[in-house]
Amino acid sequence: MTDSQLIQLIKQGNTELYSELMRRYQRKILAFVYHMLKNSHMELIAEDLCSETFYKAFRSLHSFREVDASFSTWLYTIARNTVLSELRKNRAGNVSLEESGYTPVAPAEVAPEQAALRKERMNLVREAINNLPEKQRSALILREYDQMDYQEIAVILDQSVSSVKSLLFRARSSVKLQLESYFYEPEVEEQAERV
Amino acid sequence: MNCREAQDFIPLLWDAPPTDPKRIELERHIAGCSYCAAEWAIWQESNELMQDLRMEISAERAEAVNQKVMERIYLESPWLMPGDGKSAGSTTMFRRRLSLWIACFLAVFLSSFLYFTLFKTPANTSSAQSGIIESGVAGLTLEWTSSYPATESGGGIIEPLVVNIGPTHPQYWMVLSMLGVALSIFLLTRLNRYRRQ
Repeated sequence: MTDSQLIQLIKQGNTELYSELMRRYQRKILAFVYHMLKNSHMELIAEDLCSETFYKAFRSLHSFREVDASFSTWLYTIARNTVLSELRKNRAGNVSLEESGYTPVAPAEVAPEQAALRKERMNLVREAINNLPEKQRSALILREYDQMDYQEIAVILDQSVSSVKSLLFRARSSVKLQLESYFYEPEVEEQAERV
Repeated sequence: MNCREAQDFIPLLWDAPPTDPKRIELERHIAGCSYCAAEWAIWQESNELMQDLRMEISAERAEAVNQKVMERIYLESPWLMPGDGKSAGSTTMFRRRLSLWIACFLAVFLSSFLYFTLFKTPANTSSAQSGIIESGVAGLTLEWTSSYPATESGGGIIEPLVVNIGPTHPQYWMVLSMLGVALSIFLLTRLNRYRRQ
């Protein structure tokens, strides 16, 4: 059954089918909310905000029109707005993703020194993402983690496709800039100067 | 493509499809230039690191969110609950009837209130004010003048007062509608308490 068919049935009064509709997106939306948040007590807030997103979507389902956007895009828009409103409320308590207790799993079979270096680089990337302006961060997360195309990102961020490309360009450049010092070796720098 | 062009194109063509002619040209340049290859490597590494930071959500955690949302929906709108969860007091029909009743009571209350406050001026003011019906007066003259509520001492014998038993203000509808509104509010309160339970 497609999303549209499910939505039609839900609008007709089969509320229990909303659970099925949520099941299709709940992991993606929860992950998106996690990536967007950088506040303390992140896990709790992320789950609360995710359920708030789905609840708001249910309440506004009657106003959803598929001609304007796909359900998925519409849901991401609600999720982003919910997160932004929460971040505005809790601007004071900024804590990085690392402080929230989330530790990414290091790839198996990696030498300890390499693992340490990689972890250090990951922290840099995480910090770089956290420090990005909100729109750049949203664009990057939607592109890299949710594999969305430019058009979808443009709808969610309420921007033009060219603006989205520009946002992604700046976001990636910022992240790359954080890593640059860890990569450049003297001979490469010398070669760059020659170029 | 020279190095400067390649540097400009890397961020733009980073996620371009591999079949893109510009990207093919860029990759060709990178293959023969160690500086641009190093730059490309940084982009690759940062992308890989970003992917490593990807948050994987367990099915249990996602399902917990699902349950939470459905519980909230049913808690706040019990009439949406499928099957046995529905009660007679929470059906759409019942709610519609209740709303209709409340609307009727309010309409009666408002119309009677407006009628009695704005348009109705009691003809018999003294009766309306005191609730006393004037009785006959045995006096010296045959001329009869209204005596209530004025305390005129015209002389003569005044018959004992006769109190009108009926209501001074015949506003039965107003009282009835107020009673109806009170009853409806009581019903709604009970219904809300039931929903919370």
